[in-house]
Amino acid sequence: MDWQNERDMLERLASLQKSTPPRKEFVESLRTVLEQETSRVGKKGRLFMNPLTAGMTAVVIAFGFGLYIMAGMGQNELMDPQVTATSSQQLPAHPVYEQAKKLLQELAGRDASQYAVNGMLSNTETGHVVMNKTVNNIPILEDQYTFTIDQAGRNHKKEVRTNDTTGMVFPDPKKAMPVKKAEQIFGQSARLLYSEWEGRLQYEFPFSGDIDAITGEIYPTERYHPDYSLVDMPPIPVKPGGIKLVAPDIEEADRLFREWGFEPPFSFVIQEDSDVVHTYKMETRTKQKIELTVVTDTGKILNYRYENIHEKKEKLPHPKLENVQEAAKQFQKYLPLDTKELLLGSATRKGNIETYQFFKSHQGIPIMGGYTVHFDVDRKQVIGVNPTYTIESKQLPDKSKAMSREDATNVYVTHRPLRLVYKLMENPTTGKLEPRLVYHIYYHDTPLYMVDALTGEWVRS
Amino acid sequence: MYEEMKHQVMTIYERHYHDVYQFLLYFAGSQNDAEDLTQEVFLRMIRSLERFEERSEMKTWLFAIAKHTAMNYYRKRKWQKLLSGNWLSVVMPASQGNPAQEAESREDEQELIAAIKELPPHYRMVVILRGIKEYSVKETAEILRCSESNVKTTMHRALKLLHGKLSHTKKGELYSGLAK
Repeated sequence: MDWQNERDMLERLASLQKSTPPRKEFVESLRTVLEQETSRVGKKGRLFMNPLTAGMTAVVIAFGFGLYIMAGMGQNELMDPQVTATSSQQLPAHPVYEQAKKLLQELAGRDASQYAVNGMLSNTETGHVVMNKTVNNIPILEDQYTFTIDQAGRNHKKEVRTNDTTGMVFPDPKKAMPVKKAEQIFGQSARLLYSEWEGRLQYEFPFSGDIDAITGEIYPTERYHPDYSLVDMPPIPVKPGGIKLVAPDIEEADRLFREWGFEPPFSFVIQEDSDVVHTYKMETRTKQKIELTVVTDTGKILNYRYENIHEKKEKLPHPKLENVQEAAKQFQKYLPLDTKELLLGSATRKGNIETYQFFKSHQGIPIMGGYTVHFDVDRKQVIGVNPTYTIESKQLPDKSKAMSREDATNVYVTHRPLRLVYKLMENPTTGKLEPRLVYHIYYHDTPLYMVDALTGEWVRS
Repeated sequence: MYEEMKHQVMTIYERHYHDVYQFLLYFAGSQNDAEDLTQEVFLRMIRSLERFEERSEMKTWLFAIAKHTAMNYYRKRKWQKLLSGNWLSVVMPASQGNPAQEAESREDEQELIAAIKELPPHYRMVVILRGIKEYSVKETAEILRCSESNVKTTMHRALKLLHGKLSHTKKGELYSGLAK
């Protein structure tokens, strides 16, 4: 299957997301059922966790003329005289935008003239309209209404994220650094990675956060993508053995578990996960539990789990070099013969088990994928490996052909431009929310895109 | 406390019902079953909410319930003939435009959904979460409790299988239509 076909298929799959909403009657009836069930369970007097959103976010669903107000809504927001809000003129007029403004006014009682349609998040084809309150023509991220409007002009769904901004002093946008400067800050995160599968050298942008437009400070946000960052440690030289790490049958699984230091006899359960994948669930006499999921045809390891789930996982920024070297030494016989060294990516620790993510490298640049190696630091023993360099590899281009980081950044921000927005952030001293003027990247989290370092192509990872 | 709980449950419901429903719809391939399963997921959620640990995201936790519910359904149905009615014509909203093009596009969608339904359950889940819902590899891996490499490999294989099934169905005509 070639790249074009795969991309076409991904586009087709993504298009299904919009095609099948649940029936309105079903959604309403289930709501009633859940309210009844909550009442039944709640009256048993059980304890529950803290409110999910600490009152900052409210979700409101409206059908027809009925309106459920769940939380945090209804207070009249007074206009701050310092704040002048105007609607954005950047988007062409569209009936669905007008309908959304009407709903904002009628259902939420908001002054629609203070809100502007967020073009980055709205889609007229699906009737999805996101509106942000604006100050100085700049949207406030945390004051946002979302409407989904059907073709008959009825609203299906309304979601609200709102905050009282009365009295807040918003930073002057004239003081913002030029967007080019913010792009430079953003681009500093860019790093090269090889994709063995596609024979590509590409720039990844692991930056995740907002850039303060006044001070240049970075406010990090959570990132969901794979982590290719490296631990500050010299490359680990290895002597590869070229042996395939596979477990096509129970005998080989048994052999691997022994090699990984588990003491037989084992009790095995083989679970058929699907027609093509199965899992060996193994338990030792001392109740240690391990799971190894493999492709039935080839025995290729897809997943490895060691049952120490009750222990807390913590990041290990500085693992001991001797442990890392020992782990690499123990599993190097499974490395392809052309492997000269390994780079250490993230390392974590759970109880006495440290987990290292090793990358192969080409011309000193990490190759995407990795070997996840679980190492018992007490016994100095590798207790499991999950290799992911399995798909056929292509020849890798020379890194000297890569475009500059600046050029790659220019490509990236063409597709995902930095936008000036107000973000409300808690002041740690006062505990109060304060507006910051930041450069923000919409859709920064998912899906993951990179820039081909040779062609400048925008590629989905 | 009841009011607080009600607020919490309804907030979770309003935020996630659409995603959970779609996941189950494409997994089960039947509107009726997807509705039953969605209800089951949220009822289970209410009953086990007290055990929810904030170490994981609510969405991840909820989808983990959805995954188990879907697998139970799959096991129950494994040896039964799946009902394959006209659910697509029920759930897909009519849209305006060229009727001939619309019919063709509807047909393409039906074929794609039918092909997804034929995938092994784990493959199906990865395709739904990663392909249809466009969750990241990490999110998908967390929901399915497997490794990120597993997600990538499974996705690659699933796309290959889908491509094979659809190419077979349309005898090579399919991808010329996709460029539209």
